[in-house]
Amino acid sequence: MILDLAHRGDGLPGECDVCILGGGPAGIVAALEVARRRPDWSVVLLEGGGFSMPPPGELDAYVGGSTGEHPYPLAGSRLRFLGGTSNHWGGWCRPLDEEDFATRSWVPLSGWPLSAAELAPWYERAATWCEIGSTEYAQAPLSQALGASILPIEDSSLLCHKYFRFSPPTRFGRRYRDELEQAPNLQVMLHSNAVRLDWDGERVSAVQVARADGGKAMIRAKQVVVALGGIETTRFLLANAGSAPDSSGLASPMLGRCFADHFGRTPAAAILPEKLQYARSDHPSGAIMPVLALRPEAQESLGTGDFCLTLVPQATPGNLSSDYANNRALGFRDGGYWRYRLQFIFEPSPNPDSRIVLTDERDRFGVPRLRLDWRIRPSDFRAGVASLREIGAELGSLGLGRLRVFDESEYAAQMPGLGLHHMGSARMAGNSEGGVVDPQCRVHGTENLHVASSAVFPAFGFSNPTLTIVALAARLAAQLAPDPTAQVAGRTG
Amino acid sequence: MRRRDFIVGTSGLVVGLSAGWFGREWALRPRPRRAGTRLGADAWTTIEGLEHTDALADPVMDAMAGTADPLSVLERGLVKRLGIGPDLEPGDFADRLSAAIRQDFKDRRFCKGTPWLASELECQVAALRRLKYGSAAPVAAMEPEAYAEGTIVEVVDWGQRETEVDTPFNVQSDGHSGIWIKAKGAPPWLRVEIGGEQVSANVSENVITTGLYGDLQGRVLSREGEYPIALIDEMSRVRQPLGVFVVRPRTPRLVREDGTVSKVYCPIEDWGPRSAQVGSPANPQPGGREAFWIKTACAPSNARVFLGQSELRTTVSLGLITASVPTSLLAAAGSFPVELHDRDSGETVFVGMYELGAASPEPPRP
Repeated sequence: MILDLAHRGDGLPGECDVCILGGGPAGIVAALEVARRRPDWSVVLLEGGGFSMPPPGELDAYVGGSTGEHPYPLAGSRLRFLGGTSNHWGGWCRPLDEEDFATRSWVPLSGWPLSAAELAPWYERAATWCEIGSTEYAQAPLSQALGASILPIEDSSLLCHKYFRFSPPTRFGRRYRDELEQAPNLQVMLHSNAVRLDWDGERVSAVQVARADGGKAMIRAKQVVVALGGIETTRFLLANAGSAPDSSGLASPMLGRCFADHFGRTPAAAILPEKLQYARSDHPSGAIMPVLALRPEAQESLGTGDFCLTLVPQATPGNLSSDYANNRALGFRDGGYWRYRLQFIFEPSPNPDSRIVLTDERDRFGVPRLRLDWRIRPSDFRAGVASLREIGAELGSLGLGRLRVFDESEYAAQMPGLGLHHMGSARMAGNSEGGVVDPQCRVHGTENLHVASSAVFPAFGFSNPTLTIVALAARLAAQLAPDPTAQVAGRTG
Repeated sequence: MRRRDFIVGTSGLVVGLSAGWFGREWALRPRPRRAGTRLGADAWTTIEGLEHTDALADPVMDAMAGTADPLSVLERGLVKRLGIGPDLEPGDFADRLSAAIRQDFKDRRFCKGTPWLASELECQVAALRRLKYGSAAPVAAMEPEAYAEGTIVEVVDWGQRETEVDTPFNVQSDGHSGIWIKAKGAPPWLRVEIGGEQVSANVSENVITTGLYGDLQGRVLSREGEYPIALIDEMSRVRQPLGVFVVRPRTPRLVREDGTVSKVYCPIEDWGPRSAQVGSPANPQPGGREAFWIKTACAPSNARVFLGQSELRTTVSLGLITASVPTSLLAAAGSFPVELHDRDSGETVFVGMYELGAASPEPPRP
């Protein structure tokens, strides 16, 4: 059932088994997974918006909220209605790489307190939720299928190919609306903004909800899942930190810190074999897109994060023509060459100085507004750019081409490209000193408060986060509702 | 003397003459050259044939400024590096040079003074070529005549194909007027030519988007006429004409009753249906929906039809706007204003009143 509290103010149930705050991909998946697994439970999903894009006034929480070296489009990157940011999602999917979970001495604060293997089955499930045709990401078969449209990379190379897959993209609010409406044990409440948590010792006893008309109501819940997106989740937890137990993750010094986004820059150009297609390509298993990346051992030896790069054909000639590569005596291979720009997507390292804090101002529901001071460590991109020297050496030694590395002054001052992936500011760690939630996504030191959001990512890789968000949400739902008698396998709604 | 030795010796003479290193007596009396000091004719032919090397010659030339006889220095260095001796077979030079340059990359011997990660040796060879034969042709964009007309991709449809003077269309967030081209499998390096000017294209699986970017928009929209549109595959040197984009003279704008003139709307020429009965659309569509049509010579592409307070699913095409009314809005009798609203300009224009009468009583069954 879906009720809109903008039209009916008294529809909020007084209690439920599981209360999920936020109707984006994480919240919808968590709600439906729990509802399917436990038909005997009552599940409530609270969504702050309605079915469609809210008027600008409803985004007043983000007014003037960005500071730092680069302005961050807070309001533009938040979609406050059912389906959340899946409503403007491009559909790019790939799991985090195995090395992204590892503690890497050269990437500050890296390391997940869970392994890639632990999350692997949930990636399978997330692929079904995200309507991806295949979960195959292995390099060899996909590279073979693309043939000469990608660089011929040997096993001994620094480089490897990694692949993205694509969701249609799934607009979770629309795609799963029927099931949200029809699930007998699930109530979706629109225009219902969670504003406060009430505590009973280490348990959240109730959630206070503000309606659009200014009225407020309480819902008591046995389990509470905060799934408000990376930024709103952090703001909500910060706003409730004062009343939370002293030893909880809400008192963690890391709450609000390490906010990150994948960022892109174009620090180099190249002359490489012609007709390379680092773009979305047809494949029998569904569309794929190749990117170049460093092998894990090369990341370690070069001291870089897990970045990827794509080759974008360039129309304008630089000072070195692609016909230069017709000079076979200069070490080039047979065949045509072309000029490309090298677009990087960098892995940001967790940076405690990149943070979300609350301000003295309050939004229309009385919740403190936030201020985001987003920072990039220069080392995050400098190490990657420095690795171009080795990449260029390899390409030259193989006769594949030449790289041109721009001076940092040519690109570093410009606003970097943004993924609008809000990650890291309620990070997962083994204890509350290091993070907000434990490896099960439960807030440290609490019995029943959980987070389903990219805010819990403690390290970021370069993969778009939605698939991992959904995998973590499905995993969390299974932990909350472990009843094995429910039909799970193969059902996705 | 074997023929190869003669050629090598002669080559040494030619080098000597051009560089002025040898006395006239030496020049007129060819001698067998000493192994390992001079490049042979085959090597010079290879070096002369190198193209587009100037950019990599510069750093070496700069570094050797003030060096006496840099050509000789570079030649000796190259001979030594490649281990060239009298037994060098024709064709070996290119292979040795290629292998040595690749080895430079393996050894991280990069050319200094250029943003290109080039081998030290290739920059030296580029400089040697410059010193010996002068500058190569500068890098230039391809001339239009360099393209052959042909098919790059099968185009299913494209639009928008026309507009009026000073009337942007399909306006995108950065202000450019967007043009879409439906085509499956276009190469990602595709570009589009509009009125003889190449613009970038965003290629996805089934559609190419491009448009009137930057100053081009002002130039095209300020003048009525026909602007040829073509796809360009610069790699394959193919140009695929699509048709022409037409900029028509500007149609007079709508004048409201209060005398104000709309900036974006033309007069409403006709519209309908203007009345119906509850549950019986006058222009019925699948699913029982009503469909409005509005004839007007121009309207913003983002204009939307409103029935009362309800925004309708709207399609704006040339000369005609259509909108679909869900059955839920046809449930109660009444008079409802039909309006056009454009979010970009904020302009609203009243179209007329839609009268929805009460349903006729069902005739009694026999």
